[in-house]
Amino acid sequence: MDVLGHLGSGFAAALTPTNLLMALLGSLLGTLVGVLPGLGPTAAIAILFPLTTVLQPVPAIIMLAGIYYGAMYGGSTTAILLNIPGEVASVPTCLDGYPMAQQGRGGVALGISAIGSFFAGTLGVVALTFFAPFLADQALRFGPPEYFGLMVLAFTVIASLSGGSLVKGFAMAFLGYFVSLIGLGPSTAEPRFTFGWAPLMSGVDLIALIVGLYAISEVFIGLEEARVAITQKIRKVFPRLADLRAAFPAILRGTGIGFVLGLLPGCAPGVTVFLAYDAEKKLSRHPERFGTGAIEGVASPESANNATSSAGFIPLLALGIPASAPLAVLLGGLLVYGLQPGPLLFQKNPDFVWTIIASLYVGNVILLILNLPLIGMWVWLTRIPYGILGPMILLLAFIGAYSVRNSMFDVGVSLVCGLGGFFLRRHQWPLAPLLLAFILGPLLEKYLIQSLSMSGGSPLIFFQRGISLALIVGAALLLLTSLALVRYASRRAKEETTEELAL
Amino acid sequence: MGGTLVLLGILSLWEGWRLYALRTQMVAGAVVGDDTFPSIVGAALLLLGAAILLVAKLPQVKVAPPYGEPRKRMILGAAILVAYWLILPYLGYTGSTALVSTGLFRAMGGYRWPGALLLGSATTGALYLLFRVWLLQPLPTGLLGL
Amino acid sequence: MTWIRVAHVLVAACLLLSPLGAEAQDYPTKPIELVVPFVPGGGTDLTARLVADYMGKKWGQPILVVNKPGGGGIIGARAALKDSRPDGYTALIDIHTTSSMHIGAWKTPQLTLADRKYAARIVRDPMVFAVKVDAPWKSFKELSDWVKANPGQLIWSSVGPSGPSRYTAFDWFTQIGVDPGKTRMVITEGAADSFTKLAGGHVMLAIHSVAEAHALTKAGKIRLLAVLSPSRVKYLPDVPTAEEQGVMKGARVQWWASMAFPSATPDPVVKKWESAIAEMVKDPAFLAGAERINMNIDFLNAADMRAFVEKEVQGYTDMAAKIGIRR
Repeated sequence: MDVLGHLGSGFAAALTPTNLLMALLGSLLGTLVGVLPGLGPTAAIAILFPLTTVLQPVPAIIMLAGIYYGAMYGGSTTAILLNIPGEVASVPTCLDGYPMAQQGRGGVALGISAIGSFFAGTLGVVALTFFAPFLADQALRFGPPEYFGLMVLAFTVIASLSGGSLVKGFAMAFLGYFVSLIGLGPSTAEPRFTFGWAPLMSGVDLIALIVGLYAISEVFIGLEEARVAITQKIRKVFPRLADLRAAFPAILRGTGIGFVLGLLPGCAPGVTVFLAYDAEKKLSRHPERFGTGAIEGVASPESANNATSSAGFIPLLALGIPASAPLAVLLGGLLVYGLQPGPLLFQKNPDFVWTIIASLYVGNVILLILNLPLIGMWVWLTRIPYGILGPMILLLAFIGAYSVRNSMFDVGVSLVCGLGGFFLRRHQWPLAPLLLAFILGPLLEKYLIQSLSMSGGSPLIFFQRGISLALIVGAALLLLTSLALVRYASRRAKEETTEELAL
Repeated sequence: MGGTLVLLGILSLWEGWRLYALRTQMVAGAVVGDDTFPSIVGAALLLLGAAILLVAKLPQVKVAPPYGEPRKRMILGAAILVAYWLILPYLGYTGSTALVSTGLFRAMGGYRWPGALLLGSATTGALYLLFRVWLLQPLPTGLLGL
Repeated sequence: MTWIRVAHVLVAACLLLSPLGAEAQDYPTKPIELVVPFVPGGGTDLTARLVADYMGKKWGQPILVVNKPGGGGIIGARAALKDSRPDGYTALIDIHTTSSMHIGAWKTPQLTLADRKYAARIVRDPMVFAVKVDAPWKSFKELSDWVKANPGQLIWSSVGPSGPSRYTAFDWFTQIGVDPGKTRMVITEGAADSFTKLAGGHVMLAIHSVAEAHALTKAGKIRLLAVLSPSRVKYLPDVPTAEEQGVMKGARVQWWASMAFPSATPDPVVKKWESAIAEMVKDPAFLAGAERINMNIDFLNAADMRAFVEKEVQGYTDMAAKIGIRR
């Protein structure tokens, strides 16, 4: 197939001034919205969508794609600098990114994040260019049992996120799971844990949870520590070559994991980033560095993040299946403009498709160019006196929580989580397992129910299918590795301080 | 903490029990239903909670409760946030934010009233512009429709 | 001082009163949220996006399609009808699954007809039976015979416990003499979800509307065995009807989509939508868009729509009781 030729003409179209401008505008706006706590790509696309309706089809879709990528990047910025994840996929970035910021290396983290994102995003689009239909077909082979295996795998990551105490980690995980159960049951729409109280019927919203647990509690912790500003001194603004070299393997691994998992429709980006982070930690020679500012801990999730976003385009264009809400908006855009996603799309409307793909490349480049210089500006955020920054974060948190469903209830949830999160963190209870379990819970349940329906009740289905068997075995192995690592890490820490510490 | 977990565990199991009855009614021949996971989670919470309460030797974390200036700021900050949540439906976004932001800047930043007022109105104005005018985001409107 | 007081009161009064009267003339003055209670890509979703595109251009305010899947459509429908403000800025694409079929299947449904106001019906599509493109059954009759012989091996998908797939399937099972309890029903979150599983070979049969099946049929991943309607559908001349093949008599389940609002929404707003939709179904661009996905536009105004749904409720209640799924 004349792929390169098509791509060439696609570039020609994508690089026209209008389209370039749209890509630029989209990326910029997306980043700005993504920076706001609680507002991630979904919210960004929902908010900025009106602006695109006045445009022609091609520029509109280009702008939407730019917004999508931009928002993903924006979420990382606050994760690193303020310890507040802009959205779910930025949570692991906080774990190492924020300590780096506190050490004055925030700029380095941001830089690596941008570079990793660019690399992953571009690689993803390359795969899209050449392998889209093939990959989409492979993705179809993942049915409920395989997804279940994947979720079980993700669940085992909790062990390594527990810090020093497995009991605490799992306790938090199940707590998170419990909270996720509130709402309507997935198969019968029966209310669970609502006790007849209407607002609970829609369940606890993820964004409200994140905003409360991370943003609000963070501000209170800052208050308690009588923080003046996040960093007093900024040591390095831009990453050096040495940093890049250290981070590169992590970027590669993150890209790989993020891409492969991103192909699967319905695999939430929140899940892939945790898996990537965990993989880095396990493969590292000094796992105890993670959580204190290890650059791999930033590079890997960030790359995974963007790889997943790029991979999400594959089922969208090749099968018409959007992997997430923002992609659904893109799908809507395609349909409205009369384009039928599917293998025929590449044949019937090559110009359109290749222009879009080319502009995805362009979008990645633009983000990199936009963000590297802006790092200096973002990092300056950490110098703002906390007396101003704190209230601003709280105000923005309110808006973020409210804007998901226009619900004051969500804001209330955020408040409760904020208070709860504060106490949990002070008493060293790890929050990451809670969040991960909250996300995984409904997915685990859904896939289990579907799988067992398929097999007529026999749990053997998980073992009879190659992929799911492999995944479950993998999960068991990972769990054992995690347990061993936890023991190893706490023993090393004991050796170094002759005291038992909870990390 | 352990106690809370135990309680939640019991709650979860109870709900699981309630849903169990429904499961076979709704979907004929279903092996798993909406009750499965509450039961699992309930059991896990119960076990973990009991473990924490009774058995496990958790690393002792010395947590000194905050005192003095930070403590005052935190309590004030929390109180203002709760107040914010309560008055939003009545005063609408603009009004509430103006009040609350001023309060927060004073409480958290320790700025005196004029400074706090200035910062508060500037912030409110900026937020209004950003969200209401530019992004057309729906924000709570109070009784006066502001 | 009293003058200031009076001024305050007047201003407050104006602010209080103005939103009410100006509503219908100026509506909409801000973006409208259109809720789709299923995953993107299904018929409900496609309808919503077509409508959103047209209305957005017509009124100059964007219509944002928001997907809230789960619970057989009830989670999203609840969010739109009960948890939102009845000010006309939240709308729902209401279909049979979240209305007549749901009410028919439950003695105490979570959402009743009283919870919503209809603006108009937009789409009416027959159901089709779809299997994977390389499935062993070449005709509907073959499939039916196989199912009669091996009910326990049939894995089929249903969107929620009281969706059209289930009703249609049960009608079919009853007519060919199969015990539905022996078959394996997998609950999915929407037509797109069902078809993905079908194409991947994880379920064997999916029953959805003509429009919903369009994308993957064109992509060559699934094959349509039969259409459930009195005569062949013009978009699918090669697909025989279920009746033709001697398997089923009568088409008692059909797929439709309408625009609905929370019942407390002001009438002028609903009326405005009704007339806008009436215009929309005549618009050539809109019709072309629908035709591209084999969607059959069939307008019915608000009052007639209500009567139509009430009749459906009766029908599905009877059906559910007879089949034994009414709780």
